Amino acid sequence: MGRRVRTAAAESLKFPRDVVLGETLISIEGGHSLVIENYRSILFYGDDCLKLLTKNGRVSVEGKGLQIEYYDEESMKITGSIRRVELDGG
Amino acid sequence: MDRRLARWWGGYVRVRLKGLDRERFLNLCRSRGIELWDLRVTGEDCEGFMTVSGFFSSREPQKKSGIRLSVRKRFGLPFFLRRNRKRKAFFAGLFVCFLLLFGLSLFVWDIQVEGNRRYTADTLIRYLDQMDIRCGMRKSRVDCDRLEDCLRSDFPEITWVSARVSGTRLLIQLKENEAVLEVPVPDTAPRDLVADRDGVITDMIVRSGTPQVSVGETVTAGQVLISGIVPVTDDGGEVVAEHLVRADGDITVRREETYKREYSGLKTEEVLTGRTRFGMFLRAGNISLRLYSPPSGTGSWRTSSEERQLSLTENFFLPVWWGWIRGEEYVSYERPYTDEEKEAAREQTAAEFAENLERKGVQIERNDARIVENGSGFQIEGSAVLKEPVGAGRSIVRSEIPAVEENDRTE
Repeated sequence: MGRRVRTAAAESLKFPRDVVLGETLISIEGGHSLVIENYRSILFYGDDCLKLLTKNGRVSVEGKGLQIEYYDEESMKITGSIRRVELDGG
Repeated sequence: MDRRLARWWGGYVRVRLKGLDRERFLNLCRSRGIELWDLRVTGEDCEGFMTVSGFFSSREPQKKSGIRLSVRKRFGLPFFLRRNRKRKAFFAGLFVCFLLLFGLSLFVWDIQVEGNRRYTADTLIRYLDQMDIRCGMRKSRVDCDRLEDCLRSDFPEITWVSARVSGTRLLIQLKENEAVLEVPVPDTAPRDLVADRDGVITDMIVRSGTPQVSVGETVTAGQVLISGIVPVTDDGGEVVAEHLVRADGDITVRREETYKREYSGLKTEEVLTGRTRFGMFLRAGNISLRLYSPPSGTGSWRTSSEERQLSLTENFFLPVWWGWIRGEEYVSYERPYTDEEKEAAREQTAAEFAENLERKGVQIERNDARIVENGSGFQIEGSAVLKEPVGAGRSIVRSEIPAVEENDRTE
């Protein structure tokens, strides 16, 4: 099924886009915890920056003392002092 | 919690990732399902946790990404056992402990009854005791099906019962019948309605029978109020037949009742000194250990305790009880009653008397109580005027029935 068909189906049937289209879902709790779902791979991991590749582009998380609490095929939880989240190419 | 327990059971390590391409290593581990968690960057390197199995499976990702793993610390059961492999006594103790737990798990150590409203838990547990089902018996000897059958047959109000053994607990859940089991059959046998106490009749409604008294009349206990014999008279007013009916009606009498309560002259007061003691106790079967600090001071002690049964899980109870003891020191002395206290005692006595009667549906028209001093103390004397229903059924004695035959009337 083509992307256009899936997009139309998601819009007309009010399905969640992250489920139907695999779009990235980011949840932030305050400035200390972030959960990102539907990412593809880790591009860069440093103490103050974490870059991830997603289906629609890149997500960059900046902060201090960034830790990966867990990560698996679907989601990743980042903790630390989060200052900025940037979406690129979406 | 399960995941953490599984990690501890299989063992896990804290590793340091040395090399430049750690992102590739992390992506390769992710694609191969190798678990890494709590990753943090420490200077040039990165540290995180891996399971032991994950550590051995990560050789290929290590080669591909050029990352070297160095183990910083080991955690979990396999490493604990290896570290303590020379401590034979410890493992022997551990083995004995597990053996003991296994042995204790073969018995019932707690019985819980749920859903009972009419029958108390004590009643049901006493019944189970008669059936030789009690705490301390082997679980294999508990026949749940037979227990359910017996409970259903011996307690007719129980409509549904489920008994099962879970852990070391016998759980009995039951439902009681909330509807009436049998429709009460009204008693239609002929009877008289007689007074069961003295008084003056204030109200009278006769539903069936012949009234023998009237409003305003004084009656004594045992006197017939409504007779169950209804005479049938002819035109001349002569009784030609008697019908026996069940006398019924509402009759209210007014009567006076007195009451009395004696008090000694001195009242015992208990005053807390503020000193408290704490302790705990442990009981295993018949053996009990009590840790309670010795009393100090000259006062008496009032103690309260709270007992709990040791349980490893929700349903794994053990025959060990423990609890806290709390003691409070008090000094008691006697003193005469004050006027206010006597007045309070008078009011309380009158109120208790009224409350007891009102609960029985008796109306109180007047209630007076007074304090009477006597040599050693005092007493509360009271009198009350009551309005209450009167009348009790009494079967008709054969001799009371006049010998009027039906055929006499026809002649």
